[in-house]
Amino acid sequence: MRRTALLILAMAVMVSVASVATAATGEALFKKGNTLLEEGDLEGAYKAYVEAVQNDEENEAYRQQATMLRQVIRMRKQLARETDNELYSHFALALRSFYHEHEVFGEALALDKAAFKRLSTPESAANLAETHLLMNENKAAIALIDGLSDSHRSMRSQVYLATALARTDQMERAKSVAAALDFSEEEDAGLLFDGACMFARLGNTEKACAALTKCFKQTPPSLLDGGKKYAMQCADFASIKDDARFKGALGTKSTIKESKCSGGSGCGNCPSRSSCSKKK
Amino acid sequence: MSAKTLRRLVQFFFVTLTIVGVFVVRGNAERWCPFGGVEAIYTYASEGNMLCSLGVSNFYVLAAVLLITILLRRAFCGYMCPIGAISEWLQSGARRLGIKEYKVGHRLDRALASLKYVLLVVILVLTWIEAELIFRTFDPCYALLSRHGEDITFWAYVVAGSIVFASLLIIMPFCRYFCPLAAVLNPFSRFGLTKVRKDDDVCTGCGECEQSCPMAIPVGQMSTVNSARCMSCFNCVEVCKTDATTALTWGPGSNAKRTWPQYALVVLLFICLSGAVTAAYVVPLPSFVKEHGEPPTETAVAELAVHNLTCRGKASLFDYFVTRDDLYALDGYVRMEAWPGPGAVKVRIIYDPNKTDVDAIKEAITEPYYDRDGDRWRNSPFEIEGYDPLALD
Repeated sequence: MRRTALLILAMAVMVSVASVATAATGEALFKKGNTLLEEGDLEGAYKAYVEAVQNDEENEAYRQQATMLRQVIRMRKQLARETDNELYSHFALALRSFYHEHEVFGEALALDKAAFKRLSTPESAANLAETHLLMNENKAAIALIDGLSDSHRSMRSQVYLATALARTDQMERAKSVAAALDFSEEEDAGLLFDGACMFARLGNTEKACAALTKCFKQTPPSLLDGGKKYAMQCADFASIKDDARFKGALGTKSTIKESKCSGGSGCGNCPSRSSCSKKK
Repeated sequence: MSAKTLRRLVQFFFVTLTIVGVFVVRGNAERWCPFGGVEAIYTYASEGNMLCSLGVSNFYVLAAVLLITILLRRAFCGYMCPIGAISEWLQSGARRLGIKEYKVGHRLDRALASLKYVLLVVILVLTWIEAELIFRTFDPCYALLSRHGEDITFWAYVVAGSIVFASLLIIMPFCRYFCPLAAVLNPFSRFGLTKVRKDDDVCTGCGECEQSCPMAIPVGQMSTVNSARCMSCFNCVEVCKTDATTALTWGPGSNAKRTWPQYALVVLLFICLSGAVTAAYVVPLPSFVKEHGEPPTETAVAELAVHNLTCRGKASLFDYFVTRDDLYALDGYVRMEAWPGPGAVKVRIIYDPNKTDVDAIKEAITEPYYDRDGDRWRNSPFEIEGYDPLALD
């Protein structure tokens, strides 16, 4: 009786140790995948994620990351041979979004350069400038935008130009570029965030916080916490981080209604109940 | 067994069935509501999908209830509707407590009775425009017969509370004045095959029949009860019956001498309802249908068991995946037929086998996608039973 109990106890301990060890291996493999991804080794990262899934099959985060990266790899291959500009643009934006989210800026820069070369649109120019700024390559951003014709410039690229100028202590020129930009009607959350960065760099705390507040109001609830966390770490806001207005902006709530399915049989409280079925 | 007892038993059965269905089985009672069928007709006919939370079962139940009404007048209200039963129980409870009944005058009664038609038009027009059950927020039936604390709003409780209070004073106020389903049934009920008939030679004019009518129909003043409100409850027939003779009988046609037993009505009710439930399971029409492209001469069918396709909104999202325009875009004709609900639900994809295959369909459904409007990657919320997206490698 006592021996049986001890045996069961020993087996239980072994099973728990084994499952903890498996989870730990899965986590280590997942971290390895993240490191490889940051280094730009997408195939290596994918292999590590798949191994992480094999170690911990129930982990949804590992699965999702592996599936997403597999698609990114496929998309990257497809991009090289894509002849349709519209599809090329779609794939390029998708890849860029993934690279930015995972801070694979080297890949993003190469992609943006290729996209700008091929598409040569104001959007692709602004994308390239943005990646330069994210990599703190301010001079490259200034050179790029200065080299654009008027038809290739956009409000976004001008915001990046003013930010890059301010970052490189060319304040007078930065202020004159910023003075020509009107944010009063702007609704795009991304551009509002960039505008807030620009104003913060120019020392205009009032306008920076107003733009940031408007940006957060226009940000979907599911992205709001991430956006605020990013703002707190963003070097452009370093000079206003302790300002009460900046802290106030961080307390802004989203005004965007977002679908969050209750998972139940009804959808009485679903914020998109009157429109989700009509969206394509 | 008296007619009243038999009817109470049937009512008790249906109320219990609803309570067990909602609270024990935790099913979706809305899918079996006949009025849901009325609300969903337009959207299903025009878009091929049911309103959120409803299923094609609503149409089968509606058809059964209409058949019952044509055969047995508003017997659905008197025997099967849980709200009707609760109203009657409240009414008899109030009388026992000594709360006096407030008699609504004939003219006011007629004016109030027309309210349900106005309500029906408003509900249908707005529901059809919005393609959503927008009045659920105020729906007293939903408040009374759903799992509380999930998605019932304050206003539904206010409306339900007002009706409960009114039911203590007035005979069945919701059924007579506000029920939109009653407004749908009344035109059918008026031409119902069975009716209460009076033998004028035998009638003594005692007025007992009028006193006993739960719908306040002036039975004694009619030779044939053609009122659309009649629920075939048998109260009047029973109070009229003596050992020797009876002035009131119930049955088809106008021969007042022959009466049909009440249990025949109950049997017919159960036959109609069982038919509807059986049809809902044997001929389960999809409650969400979307078609893209022209059907080719040759088609193939993929039947999948999909998790997380819980509602109409999720079915729309599923359709988004099926019609995605990225690496996993499906070529050619695609028709999607789904039965949204909890657990693993059936989805049929009809496709062109010369342009795509089952693996491509599975990939389209489960692969993440880039949402260009939101500039973000989104994972597919759908899982296909027996399919592991990573196992393809």
